[in-house]
Amino acid sequence: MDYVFCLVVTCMVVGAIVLSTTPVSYYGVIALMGLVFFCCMVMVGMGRTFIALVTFIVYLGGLVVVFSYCISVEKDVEDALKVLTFKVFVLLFVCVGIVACLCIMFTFGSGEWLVMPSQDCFVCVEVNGFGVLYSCGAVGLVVCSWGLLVTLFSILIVLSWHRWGGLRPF
Amino acid sequence: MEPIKITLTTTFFIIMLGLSTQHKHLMLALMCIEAMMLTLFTMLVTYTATSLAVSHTPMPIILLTISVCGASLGLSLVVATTRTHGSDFLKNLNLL
Repeated sequence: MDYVFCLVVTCMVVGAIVLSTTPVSYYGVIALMGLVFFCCMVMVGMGRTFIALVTFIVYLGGLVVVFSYCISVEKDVEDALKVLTFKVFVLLFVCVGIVACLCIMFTFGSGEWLVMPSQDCFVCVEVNGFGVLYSCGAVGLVVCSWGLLVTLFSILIVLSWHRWGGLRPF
Repeated sequence: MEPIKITLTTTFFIIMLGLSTQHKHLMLALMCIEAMMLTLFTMLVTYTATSLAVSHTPMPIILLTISVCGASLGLSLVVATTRTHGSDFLKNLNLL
């Protein structure tokens, strides 16, 4: 377990170096996704599975938008055949990965993947801890929602949607 | 737990150096800021996992929300720059 941790941490540093030295923006997105993945692996290794899942979903959703925007800014033209072969390769890769995961689950059992049985107390503490946002720590919830509302209106002002109506061509 | 803290700090400084030497793309600068936020978030999760204080557990969620607000504002700035100048280069920003 310690060696796996060492490998994950090393990959994190490598992802940071790639992110800070790349000249092309969509390579940077891929490096950042690797960094997020390895940070979530570190959190899972410490027993915090729920917050690792939340972080990964949030960063994945944000980085898909950033990645598509980077691709649209780069303005390169690709032919359709290359895209189709790429899709076929990706689908083959995903199918092989799913089959490998099923083989591993059937041979080793699937009980100890997300919730570690030796750390049940951590899971209870974590669940009780996030309930604090709704009972005693309601101020944090109010501050977060206020920040999101202010961000929404400031984005509307930055993109100047008050002059052009709701829909504006890109 | 000590090598993880050292590595997180090293990652933070590497990304900060990358941010300070980023001269061309605004998008890459935003991604560097996002990665710095991510390392801070991991440090906070490490702190709550080692100290086991129940009242400190929602703090990473609050940090994540605030960083998402900042990242979305940066993205909207990139969108505004791309609409007016056609690219997200940092040398165009003095014309905005």
